[in-house]
Amino acid sequence: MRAATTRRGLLWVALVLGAVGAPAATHADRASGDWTGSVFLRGNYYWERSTRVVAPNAGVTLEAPNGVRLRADYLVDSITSASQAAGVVEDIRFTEIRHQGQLGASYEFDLGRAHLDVDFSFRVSREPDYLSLGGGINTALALADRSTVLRFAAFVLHDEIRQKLRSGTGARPMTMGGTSADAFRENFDALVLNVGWEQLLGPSAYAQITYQYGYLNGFLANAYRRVAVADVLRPEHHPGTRHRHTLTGRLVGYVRPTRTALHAIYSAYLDSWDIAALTPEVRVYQQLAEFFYVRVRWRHYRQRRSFFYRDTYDHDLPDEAYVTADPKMSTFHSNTLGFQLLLTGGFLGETRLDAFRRASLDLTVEYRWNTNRFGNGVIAQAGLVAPF
Amino acid sequence: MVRLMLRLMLLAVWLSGCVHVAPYEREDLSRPGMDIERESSETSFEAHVYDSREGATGGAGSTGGGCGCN
Repeated sequence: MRAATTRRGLLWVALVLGAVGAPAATHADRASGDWTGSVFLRGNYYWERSTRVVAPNAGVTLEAPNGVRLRADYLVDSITSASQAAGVVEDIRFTEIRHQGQLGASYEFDLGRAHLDVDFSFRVSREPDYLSLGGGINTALALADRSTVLRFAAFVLHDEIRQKLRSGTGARPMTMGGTSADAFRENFDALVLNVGWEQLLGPSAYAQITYQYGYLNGFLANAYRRVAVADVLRPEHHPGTRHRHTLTGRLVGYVRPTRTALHAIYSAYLDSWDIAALTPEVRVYQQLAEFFYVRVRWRHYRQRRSFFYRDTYDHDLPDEAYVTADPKMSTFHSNTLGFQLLLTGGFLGETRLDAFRRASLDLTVEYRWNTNRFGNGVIAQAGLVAPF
Repeated sequence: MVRLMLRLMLLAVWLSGCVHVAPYEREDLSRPGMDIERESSETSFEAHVYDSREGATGGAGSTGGGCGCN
């Protein structure tokens, strides 16, 4: 009951923040010596058969007169889900609240004919049974009047996993080499490297290509999920390291006669667990009126299963064998169709709401058809961005 | 398909031959549908959803990990 009330409250907060937030509104620029920036408020919602997520998110960016840019954002993630720990015979619902805060600072160095943008960020994410700390650097070297941009980013992550909720025993399972007295305290670390190339192809088109490498090391399974092996439930057991490779390309063009922007995106993924995935995506942005746009998006995702995933584990296996009940380790595909309405505030210029003339409001609904056990899902978002 | 995409991308970039577009020619590039930075907070939540529902990750600024939704 309390969880439902909390979830309903957060949903209202998400909708109110996303739809009618009231940002501060002053305007200044570097020449005047004042600070400039923007605030954003966003309500996020995700629904599927066994999971509901409500995640209001707010943030601010500031630019100092000397060019230093600062940003901060905060997100509350309320996840209500059927307990995986209970197996398939019970459907116990539980709610977890995750708090996430991010801080960032960046500065662009003028190198004459080039510009180097350097950005540092730090992120903390906290749940009752999970702590994640991450930080990274993101650089962009802009050449030829920003016609070419070369990007490099590195991000490190340290996650601490505990077992406190959802009928977890809080003890380290024997199958993981523990004794009944050992507390469940697992960690994992990750390093993610990103290189990218963005190239203008003309006054109305550009291309991007990005490669991302991820290395994960530590406890990479779910702390609660159980797997039926020869009809006996045991904890999930995943390999302790994972190497992930993602290559993404994007072509973007603008058709002036019809006021249409087109994005074609293609992503290929491969990892050391033998999962391979392809993700083509198309986005069409159509301007319907001077300040009103609609976006239609279609995304297809298709993956091959990990080498240790089985629909059922019929025969007994040694304790050290890798076993999983995670649907995202299986072979499956999904299709997402989404619509977005975007209203920019230009029509408010020289009215009493002139302060909002550079603001924008977006409303997004996406439906995801999914062939694995997670089932179909809906993503809905409402966002307001207001520069000042 | 991946190789074809890669070749097309490289061909497009090569054909552009270090294209230089002057700032005053960038009206189209600054339109809302052309600026993917504008969608960063929206993309961030979507990437989080996909991270918790798909075996693949990356390409949308996400890093994997960061929550107990593994």
